[in-house]
Amino acid sequence: MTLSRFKPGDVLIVAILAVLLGWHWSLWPELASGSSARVLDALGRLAGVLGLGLMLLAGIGSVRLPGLDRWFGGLPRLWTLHRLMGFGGFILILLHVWSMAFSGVAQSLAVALATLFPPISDWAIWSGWLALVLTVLFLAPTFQFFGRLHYQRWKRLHLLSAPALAFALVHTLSLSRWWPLWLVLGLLAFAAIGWRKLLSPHLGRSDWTVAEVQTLVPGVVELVLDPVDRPLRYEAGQFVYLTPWDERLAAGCGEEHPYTLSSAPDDPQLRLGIKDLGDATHALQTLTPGSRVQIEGPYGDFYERHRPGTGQLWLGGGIGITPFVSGARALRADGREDIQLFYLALDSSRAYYLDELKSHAERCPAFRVEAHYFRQEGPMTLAFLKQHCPDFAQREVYLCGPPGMVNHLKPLLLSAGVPHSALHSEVFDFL
Amino acid sequence: MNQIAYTLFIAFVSSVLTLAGVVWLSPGQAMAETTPNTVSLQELASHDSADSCWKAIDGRVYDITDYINFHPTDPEVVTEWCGKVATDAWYDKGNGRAHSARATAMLAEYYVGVLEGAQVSGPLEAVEPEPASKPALPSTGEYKDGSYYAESEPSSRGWISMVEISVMNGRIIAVYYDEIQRDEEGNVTTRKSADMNYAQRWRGVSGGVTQLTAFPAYARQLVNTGVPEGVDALSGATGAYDGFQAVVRDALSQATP
Repeated sequence: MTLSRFKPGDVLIVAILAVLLGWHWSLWPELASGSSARVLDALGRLAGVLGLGLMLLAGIGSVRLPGLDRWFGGLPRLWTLHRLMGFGGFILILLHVWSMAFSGVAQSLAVALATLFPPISDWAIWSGWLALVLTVLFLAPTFQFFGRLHYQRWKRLHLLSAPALAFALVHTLSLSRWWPLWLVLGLLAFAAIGWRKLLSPHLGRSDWTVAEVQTLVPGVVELVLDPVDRPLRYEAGQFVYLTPWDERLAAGCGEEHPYTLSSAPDDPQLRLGIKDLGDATHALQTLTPGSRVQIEGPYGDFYERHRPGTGQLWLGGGIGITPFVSGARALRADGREDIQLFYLALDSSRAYYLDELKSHAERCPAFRVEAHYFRQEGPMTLAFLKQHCPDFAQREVYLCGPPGMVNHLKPLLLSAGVPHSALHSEVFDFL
Repeated sequence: MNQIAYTLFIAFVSSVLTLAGVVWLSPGQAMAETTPNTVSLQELASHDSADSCWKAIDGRVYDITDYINFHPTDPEVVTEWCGKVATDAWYDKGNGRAHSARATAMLAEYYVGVLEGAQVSGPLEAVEPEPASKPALPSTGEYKDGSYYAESEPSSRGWISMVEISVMNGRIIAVYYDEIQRDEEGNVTTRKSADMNYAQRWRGVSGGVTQLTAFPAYARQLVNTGVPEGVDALSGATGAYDGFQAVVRDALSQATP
């Protein structure tokens, strides 16, 4: 989980946290007071401020508004931020409770314990406890305290974050003199969760009809969708959440999952390449033509340019070829962008889309395609890259494929002198 | 990240539980400490019986109801001062001598609050014993000659502490202490000093000392020093120490001249 490069949205996050900490300026001198009890007390309060701030921002960041994610470098990166903020918030809130209690030890152990467990009438403290207990409940499966949890069940349990935030706000608003900012952040967080869970299933999705289910190879299909009303505006390489409503499906009816679009943005039909990788994707292989699906999106910023003017190197493998199919389909015949695609497949029988990609290469002179078969060549080598694309290390690189492939290629490319900033890959294995 | 979160969460829970455990295991640290109570003279006066006995000593109020039965003297000696300022009685037990440092420490457990208008700084500082109140050890000629016997009420496990003290020429010359159990008819069924199995189990817990040496050690110290205050507790046998102190005081109260 890395967050390469700073994005405009990051500035916003840092600014809000800085305002929160600055707003509590009166606590800062306490940290240098020299009295351990006062230092712990101030530390505890600041940890609570920062912890709740991060939790609220994580909540706001879960809004999944199409377009907004690009401020943060695409939805996968925003999700990484969400996870980091949730993690940081959780740790800080533990520190908050711990510091508040132990700052009382200087007075006496009983005072310390009474800080944690006051009389039941002290509802402000107890609502804080309730928030913490709920937080542990909804984060335990996220951090896999007790092993892995079923994805859909995890998603439902994660909804406990809403009451947890509510109790945390009750706790904070009743104890803090700086309530207006908390109120604003709290309202934004609840608006985000409300949009995500209550409104977006109705307002954020568009209806589509399954026109065709084309089998590319066994276990891989391309869904072709016709719009019911409005078409989708998107860019090549973006992905959407698809919710099928075909009751004949063996699994996943009514469940949303992310899939990369393989169609070109000017195609009136929407196309999605889907590989059989789990229950839901397995069921989609036999989706009934004519049935209804819903689409929410688009998300991501796959073809973001960090070094405009340089050539592009596309490396796709397995179902990770889909954003490149979308990219190739979107290419104009007179396009000047110099693009080299390497299609990494097990062998020629698994190189679906390859024929079509080659036809695009014939259509567009600036676009070249080269297949690399693992069964024949073994893992990709620098020699292979150099042979077919001598200036590969000077290009902006776009990677998409199974983890094994990405984990092999990234170090390989970095060793060849490709800078970090020239590497792009979006992974959404847990969205 | 998952491991860090898990580790810190466990550390958090552990430290909170440790804090709770330490407070729970420190009996002197009463929760009342957090709220320094002020007790008015009126309220003090309302607790004036053996059913609810509060006393003010040195500006602090104590609820000693639960202790009345453990006091070495007859209950009336204690209950006479219920609901009153009893500082004088604390520093002069009637024989010109103050209560012991140990008694002072015990008093802390019964702390209720500060007497209204009293100039007391902290809510729970144990009352400092007067330097003169240190028992003169050994004291001679304090007791009437004779043999004195006392035993306690049965504990929750049925153990009764018993002591026999012989006094000759005003000095304690022999002490027998034991813990016994009786059947319903009052016949003694077990005595700890002869129970080797009990000693074996005790040894496993206390790390060495058992009743086999603890009981004679307490008895010997009493003979040597002549006063219960002169008997020090053996670590690993503090329960027996408390039982010993209570019955010895009970027995010696009959021997006071």
